[in-house]
Amino acid sequence: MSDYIVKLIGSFFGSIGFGLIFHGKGKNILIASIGALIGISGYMFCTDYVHLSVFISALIAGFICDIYSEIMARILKAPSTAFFLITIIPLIPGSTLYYCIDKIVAQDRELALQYGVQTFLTALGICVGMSIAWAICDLIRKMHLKVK
Amino acid sequence: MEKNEIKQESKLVQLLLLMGENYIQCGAEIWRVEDMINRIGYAYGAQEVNAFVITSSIVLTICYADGHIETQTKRIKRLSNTDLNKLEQLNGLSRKICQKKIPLEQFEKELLSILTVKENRKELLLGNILASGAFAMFFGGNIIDVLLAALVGIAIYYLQIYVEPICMNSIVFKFIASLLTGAIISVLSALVVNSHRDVIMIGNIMLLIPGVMFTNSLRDALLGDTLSGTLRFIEAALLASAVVAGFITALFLVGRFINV
Repeated sequence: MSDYIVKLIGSFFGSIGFGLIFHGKGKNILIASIGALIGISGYMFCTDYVHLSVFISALIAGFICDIYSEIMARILKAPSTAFFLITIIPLIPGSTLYYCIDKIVAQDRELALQYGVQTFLTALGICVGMSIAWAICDLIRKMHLKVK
Repeated sequence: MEKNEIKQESKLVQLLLLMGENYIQCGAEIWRVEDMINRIGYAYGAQEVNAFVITSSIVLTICYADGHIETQTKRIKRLSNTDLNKLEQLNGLSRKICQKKIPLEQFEKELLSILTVKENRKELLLGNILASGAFAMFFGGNIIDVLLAALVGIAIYYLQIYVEPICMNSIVFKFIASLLTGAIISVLSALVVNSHRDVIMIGNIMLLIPGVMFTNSLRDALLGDTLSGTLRFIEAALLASAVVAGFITALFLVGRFINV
C-alpha cells in the first residue's frame, strides 16, 4: 500500500514539475496534476487489480485523462491541451524505455524487444484512449449545437 | 484606397501566420491551429480561408470578397517550445476576436505583446529539479536517488540553456545530452553508496524523451491529420532513438572503465 502512496506522491510532484517546464499557469498546473493522480490511479488499478493488459490499461487511463481535461477546459475556459499534456505525464513509459536500453546494452535481445514493445503499446494505448474520448466529446458538442 | 485595403488583407494573413506558428510551437494540435486561423479569417470578413498546417510549415490562402486572393507561407523552424501560458493567451485572443472584431492594428499590438514575453527560466529549472526527483521517487528510489536525480536535473537544465542553441539540430542535442547525462549518472551512482543507477536514469530520462511530441503526433494522426501526424511521429521516433543511442553509448563507455 505504501508503494502506491509513494507512486501517487511522485506522480503529483512530477506532474507539477512538468507543468512548470511547460510554463503553465499555477491554477491550471494544480488542477491538471490532480487529473494526473486520477489517471495514474486508474492505470495502476487496471494493471494491478484487474490484471488487464498494458495496452488496455493505458487506453482506459488515457480516456479518463482526456475526459477530465475536456471537462476542466469547459469549466475554466482554457484549451484542453493545457491540462491534457500535464495529466498524461505519469503515464508516459519512461521506465520500460530505460529497461529496453539496459537490455540492449546487456545484449539480451528478447527482453529488449519485449520492453520496447511494451513502451510502444503503452504510448499507443494512451493515444487511442484519448482519441476515443475526444471523438465522444466532439460528437456531444456537435449534437448540442444541432439541438440549439 | 484600394492599395490600403490590399495592405490590410496582406497584413491579416501575415499576422495569422505568425499566430499560427507560435500556436504550434506552444504545443497545440494541428486541427486546433487550422480551426483558429479559419475562425479569425472569417471574423475579418474573408470569403474563403484555406489553411494547410504541418509541423514544419504553414501555407495560408485567403480569398476576399473584393476578389483579391492572398497567399503566404511560413516556415516553422523550432518545434518544441511548449508554453501552455502562451497557448492559453493566444486562445483567449482568438476567442476575443471572434466575439467582437477588433481593428487590425489592435490585433497586431495584442499579438506582439503576447509573443514578446521572455521565457521564464526559473520555472524551467525548478520544473526540471522537481520532475526528475519526483519520478525517481515514483520508480522506487530512496532519498539519495531522489537527490541525485534532482542534481542531474539541474545539469540537464544547463545543457538545455547553453548547449541546445549551438547544436545543429535537436537530434544531435538529444544525443549529446543523453550521453553526458548517462555518463554523469553512471559515475555518480558508482561513487555514492546506496544509490541505484537504474532509478536515477529513469528519473532523468523522463526529461529527455519527447513524450509530448510522441503523444501529439499520434493524436494528430488519429484525429485526421495523417500527414502531420506521420511527420511528427517520425521526428519523435528519431529524437527517442537519439536519446536511446546516447544512453547506450554512455552505459557502454562507462561500463568499460568502471565496473558497475
